[in-house]
Amino acid sequence: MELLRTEKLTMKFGGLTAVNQVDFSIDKGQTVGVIGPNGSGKTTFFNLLTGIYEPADGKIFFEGKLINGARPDKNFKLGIARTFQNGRLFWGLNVLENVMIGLHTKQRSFIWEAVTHNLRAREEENQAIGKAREIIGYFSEHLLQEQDTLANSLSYADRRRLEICRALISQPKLLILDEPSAGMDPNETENLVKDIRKIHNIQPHISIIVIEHDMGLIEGLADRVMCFNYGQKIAEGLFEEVSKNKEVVRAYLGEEEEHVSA
Amino acid sequence: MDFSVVIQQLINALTLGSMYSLVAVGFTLFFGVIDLINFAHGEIYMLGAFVGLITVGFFAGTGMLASHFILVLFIVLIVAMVVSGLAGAIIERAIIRPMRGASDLMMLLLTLGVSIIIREGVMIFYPNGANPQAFPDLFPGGSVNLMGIVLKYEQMFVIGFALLMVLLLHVLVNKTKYGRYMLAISQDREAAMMMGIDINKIITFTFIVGSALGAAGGVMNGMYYNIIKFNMGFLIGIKGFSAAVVGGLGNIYGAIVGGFLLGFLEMFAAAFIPGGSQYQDVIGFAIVILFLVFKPSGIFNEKVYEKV
Amino acid sequence: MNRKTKDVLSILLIEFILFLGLLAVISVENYAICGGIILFFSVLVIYLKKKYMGLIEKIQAMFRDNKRIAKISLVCLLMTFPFFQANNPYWIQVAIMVGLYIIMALGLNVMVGNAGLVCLGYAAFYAIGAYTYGILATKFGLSFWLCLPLSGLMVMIFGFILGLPALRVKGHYLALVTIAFGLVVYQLTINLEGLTGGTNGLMNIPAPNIGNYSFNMPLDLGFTRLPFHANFYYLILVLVCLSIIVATRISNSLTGLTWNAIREDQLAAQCYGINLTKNKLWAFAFGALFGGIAGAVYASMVGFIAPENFTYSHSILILSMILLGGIDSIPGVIFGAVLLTIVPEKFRAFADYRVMFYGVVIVSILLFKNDGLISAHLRKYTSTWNLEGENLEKNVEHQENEAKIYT
Repeated sequence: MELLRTEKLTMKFGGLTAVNQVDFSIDKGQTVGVIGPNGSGKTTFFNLLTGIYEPADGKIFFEGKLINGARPDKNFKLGIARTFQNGRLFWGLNVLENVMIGLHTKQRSFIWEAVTHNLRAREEENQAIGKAREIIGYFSEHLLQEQDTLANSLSYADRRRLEICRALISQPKLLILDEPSAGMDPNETENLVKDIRKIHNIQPHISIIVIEHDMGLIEGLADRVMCFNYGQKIAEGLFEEVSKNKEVVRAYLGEEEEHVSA
Repeated sequence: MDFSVVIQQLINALTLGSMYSLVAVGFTLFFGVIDLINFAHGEIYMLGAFVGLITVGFFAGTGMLASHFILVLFIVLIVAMVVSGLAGAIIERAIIRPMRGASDLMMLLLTLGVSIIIREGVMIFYPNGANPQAFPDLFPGGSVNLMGIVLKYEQMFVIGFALLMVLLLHVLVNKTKYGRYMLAISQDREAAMMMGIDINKIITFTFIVGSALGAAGGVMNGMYYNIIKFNMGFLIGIKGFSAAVVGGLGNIYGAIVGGFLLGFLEMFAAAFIPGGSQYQDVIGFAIVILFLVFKPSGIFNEKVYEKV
Repeated sequence: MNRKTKDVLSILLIEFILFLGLLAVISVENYAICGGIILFFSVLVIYLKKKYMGLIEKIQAMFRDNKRIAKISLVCLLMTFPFFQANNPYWIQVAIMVGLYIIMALGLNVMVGNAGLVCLGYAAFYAIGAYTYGILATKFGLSFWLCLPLSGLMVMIFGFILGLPALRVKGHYLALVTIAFGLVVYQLTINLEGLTGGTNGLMNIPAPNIGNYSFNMPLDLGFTRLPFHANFYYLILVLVCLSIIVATRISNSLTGLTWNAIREDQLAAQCYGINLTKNKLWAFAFGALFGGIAGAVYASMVGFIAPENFTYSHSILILSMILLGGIDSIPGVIFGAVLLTIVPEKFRAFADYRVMFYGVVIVSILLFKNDGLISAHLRKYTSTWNLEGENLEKNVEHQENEAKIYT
């Protein structure tokens, strides 16, 4: 069943067309990898899906509903959660608090509840802590031990893991991972793949879109791959097909080369 | 409405706008090189006016004020600009540089603190500094009368000098090595550093230039209104900042246009709206707030997309 | 004597000594001696902090274990303050100002500390609260107790209005907008002469009264008579306690957490479902509320308000309080307000240097210890929740005591 679909999605920055007429769709439970050279419009495409930018042209449908130009918080409420390329955690908050923020949309208490410190406020607080601890513990016992540590003193791998926890706690329908393995060594990347696999255990029907440069990672995870170049979708299909596609090879390795190394 | 009244107000507005522009350029320069809003910049303007006043004091007994007033005027301007430029450089070296990289809020509060120290310093240490100081007339009083429009010599000088400064700045930025370096830093500081530009030197240099221009504005203010006060820098600082924002922060020509625009708006609000002179500042700020809300990137800058 | 009684007694003793120290600092007129005492105490505290960390921690733990007793006893001690100053209401008045500034600093901290929204025009809210009460009381004869919530409401409306541009701008631009807002309100108080009395201000603003008893009458307790200021002192004491409770609860709540997230990274916060519009507007309105209450009380106390009481320098003063104490640290904010109100009063012969002092304070605290004297401690409440099943409140009282050591 189709979860998200874009039609001729276009984004322009001044004279530059960063995303050019992209048609894309993802079904429930599917994992799609997005590849392409740096600056080819992958992240901009994600920013359009989450609502950070408003598309210049084209349409985005989520569960059949048009969500063009909706604010990121509205989209999050619908079930689109993301991580960021450079890791945007709340650096001054601790591990547990970072994850608790992900539950924000499920909470109804506001100033009045906070000031009176009434039953609802206390219940929601305890619930949030419980859920956050549960999900952190599922990914890493070590991170649970560090629950009072500030996000900015975590290791690179833990930050990524924390970002995934923060996104997952809201039980999103679509999870968007923006270069989760950036800056990781092969060992850490391997753990990351395990973590991403674990996501399906928590939430079986979640759809995942992942931007990656690491072909090994994509090959192991994605049901389908899409390749961007100069803002346009140049190829889409199974990993084996796309990785042998001439245009993809050219985009990645220049004119002469024949193969993409996996 | 009488046509000559409009022209008269136009000239007054140009005069006011010249001063705003000179201050606004400083804000935009600093923002360009280190993304900093220097709230102490208005105080540099005030400092310039006071240094000018002290310099004039040296000539008071000599009679040169009457005989060689042009010479005196230029000496006063140069001294004020040099001293304030150095003050700007000192602020940058001693206070801003150690904090570079701190959050926006911290930097903003820091320059705010510096502005308080300068302002209060002048109040405390200048003799009788809490009261307004008379700034002597540097020009022999006089005006040109063109078809009922009074054009004072001072006004002509203020506008002319501001235009000269703008021209010099244009040449500095576009034709000299240092100006090119400044542009390079404002585009991408790290890349500029990689290319071997001594960015610390250029940043200090930018502070000297910006502060000197502000100080020139201060002297103009003293000369034109004949009165200066220790707290005159606050409002002009806010207005200079507003002008820079209206023009688009980081854009030198935007700041100049913004300064003149603000001058026009205030002057015309004061002149043609009943009771407008009372609300001159209110109207000015209301416009700035509206501008910030609807076009935060200013007149000349393109829309900024946050990098994710 | 078991351990608990011992702890309680030592808490009482510590509080009593600090209270006496405070009284001593107040009553000594000689600047040199006074400065000496302050210097001695600050050096002592720094020395103790360096050398006997264990001792400090022990004391902290003691206060934490008996926080209810510590709080109640502190409030009781503070209630006796007017009796010591019955002949000379000056310091009672200063204490009232301290209270007002604590309330306002807490309010500003909601905006700047919790939500990270710069506000350089906070005095405007103080002014709006004061003028709302002044106008309603003098022109319409409404009672103080009705006007207090009305002032609060009025200020919250203005908070929303200031919040509107804040939705679109941030950082430097927001600073400019808030300065402009402060100036516009200031200009309006001068120019709307029919309503505000212009530069002459509003006069004869009535004091609050309960039945026939006006707050302007000396407080006759049978055995002793306290100057009328004592009435306001007790009113302020109640309001300060309320403000501290409210501010602490907000900062520790999920709402506080949400606002912190906005402070840390707006875009990420939005991508995680936080509605920036709603939260920013409420952060402004809620922070403003404190200022409005303080303004109304101030107007009722002095009976005369003029635009000069609510200038840009007042905004800066409140800001320097939270900077000095520590942004987002409630004990710090209280400490900053206490320090920056008492020290200038103590050294009022140097009144000319007062604003200069604020400037030097701002610059030096930023250059040398930019998280403030009592920096915000990391929120570990989450783990204590699990252990105790309830939120561990920040130990305000203890920090207040610490604040007094410095003063």
